[in-house]
Amino acid sequence: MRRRVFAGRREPTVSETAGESPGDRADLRAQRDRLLEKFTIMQTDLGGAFYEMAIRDHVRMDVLTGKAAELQRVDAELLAVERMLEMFE
Amino acid sequence: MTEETRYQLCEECGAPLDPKQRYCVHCAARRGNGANPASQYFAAMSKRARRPAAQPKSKAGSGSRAAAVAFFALLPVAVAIGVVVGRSGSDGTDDALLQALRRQDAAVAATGAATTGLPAASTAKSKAAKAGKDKVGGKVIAETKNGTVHQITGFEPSKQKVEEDTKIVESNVKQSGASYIEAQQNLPDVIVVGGDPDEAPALPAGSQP
Repeated sequence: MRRRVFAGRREPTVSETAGESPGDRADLRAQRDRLLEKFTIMQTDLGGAFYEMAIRDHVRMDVLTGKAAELQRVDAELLAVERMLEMFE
Repeated sequence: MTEETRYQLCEECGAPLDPKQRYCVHCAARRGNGANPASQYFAAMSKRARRPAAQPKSKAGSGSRAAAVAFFALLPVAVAIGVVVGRSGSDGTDDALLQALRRQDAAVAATGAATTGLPAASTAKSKAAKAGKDKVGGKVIAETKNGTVHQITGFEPSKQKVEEDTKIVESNVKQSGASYIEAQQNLPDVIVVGGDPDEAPALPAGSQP
């Protein structure tokens, strides 16, 4: 099975951005916005997929759990970026 | 009609999909046919979020463009008005203005001579300096802007000069305030004080700095 890429590009990790200068803070905000958009789309997709499976009586928990794991990774990354921004703002 | 034509296939896993199916039930992949209301909602929201930022820019751009058009449209009119005003003001009025300025200069010069007496006096003194001697009687060394400088060495004042200068000194001692300052400003450069130097009162003893 091919993995679907939602945002089309890899997000830089939190450790790659220092956030000390105003430019870094702007980068952090941009990264936060990208992660927020990605998380929203992935969560909507997870809910939509479960709804589709449920109405057709074809729920596949392994697929949904995998999707939930991807969503959790993005959620953790978003939380880290938001904490970094709170520290510097 | 085959099954493949009746059912579209999932782009991710190739599983058959119902035309109204929004997600694949095998791999949970979203279909890209635009029938998903959530996708339509997000697209509309993102459009709405970008629209307010774009609208004021377009309004400001049209306003500045209108101002630029108005400026370039009124520029030739303003230039034409300036040319007309300039031509109308140059016939005869310039001569009158020049004459008025000359009259004003002459009046200022006459007033200066009357109040200070310096220009007239300096003119007379310069004429006397050319002759070598003047009213004071001493030899003229130099003509400065503050007056004529006479040589004191070998100067022998006339009796009339001694009497006049003595009167000046006596009257100057009695003056005070503004009148004293005015009297000091009109003093001649050489003042002869009569009398015997031995009979003069002792100089006041001041403290050395």
